[in-house]
Amino acid sequence: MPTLELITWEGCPSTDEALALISRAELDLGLKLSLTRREINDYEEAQVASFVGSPTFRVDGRDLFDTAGQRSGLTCRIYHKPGGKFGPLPDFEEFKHNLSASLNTAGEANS
Amino acid sequence: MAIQIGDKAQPFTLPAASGKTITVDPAASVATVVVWTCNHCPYAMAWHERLQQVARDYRSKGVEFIQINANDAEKYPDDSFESMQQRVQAGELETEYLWDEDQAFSKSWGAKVTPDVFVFDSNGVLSYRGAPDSNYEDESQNASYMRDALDDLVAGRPVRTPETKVRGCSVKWIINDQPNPYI
Repeated sequence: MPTLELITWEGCPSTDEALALISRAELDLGLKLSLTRREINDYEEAQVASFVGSPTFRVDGRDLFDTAGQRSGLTCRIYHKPGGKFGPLPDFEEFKHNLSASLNTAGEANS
Repeated sequence: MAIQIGDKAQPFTLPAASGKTITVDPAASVATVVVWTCNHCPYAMAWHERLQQVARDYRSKGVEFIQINANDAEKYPDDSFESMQQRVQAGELETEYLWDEDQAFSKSWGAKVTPDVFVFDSNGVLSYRGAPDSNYEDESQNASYMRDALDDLVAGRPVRTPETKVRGCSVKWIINDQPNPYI
């Protein structure tokens, strides 16, 4: 079963909202995810984990969103939103779409 | 010791991305706004335009407005002085954009996150500290916490809500000896 990994850093206040986003997506998609949590604690760990900011969502190790041009570090992640805006969390519809696609891809790879 | 509501701030001098060296006297205007911000934080980015609009709207009322970046530019190059200059040259900021390279000033004031808003009255006394408004995602909030504080100060009234909870990315300290704002 594919696993969704939520990677966070305590210096960013969006963790509860990220968990709420996951719960909402589970409801919308009608599935129960296998969720694991990981906390990044220092800058060096962020570099090793290629952590480009909190929150980061990965399915079987693959990021749900494009990381091009984003640097690793202890920071809040920048998500592009509809209308050319930015925010600390992904747009829900995009999150749901990317999650669903990643789960399908991971499921096919594991079958 | 960070400055608290009711404390009087002293004038300070920092280099600006405009190429000038700016001295800010918090007691020199009817009100003075000092905002810690940066170039790469999603909360600062989400609130950015609302903050610039406050600067535009209150300039004619005699309000001084300054923005400061203090983030460690070595680990976070997006927050370098050069990146600040690029934003200023692109016209993204309505105010002087100051650089606290060694972070000493930011630590002395107790800046926590980006954005972190400090508003002073005409005597240089800290009268509001906190977030621009209650919701970074909701543009209709229109930086209402800041505007309420400025409206009160311009009218000569005590600020109705002197303090709100900050929300944003922690300032990126070179030596992280500061408390986590969310613990």
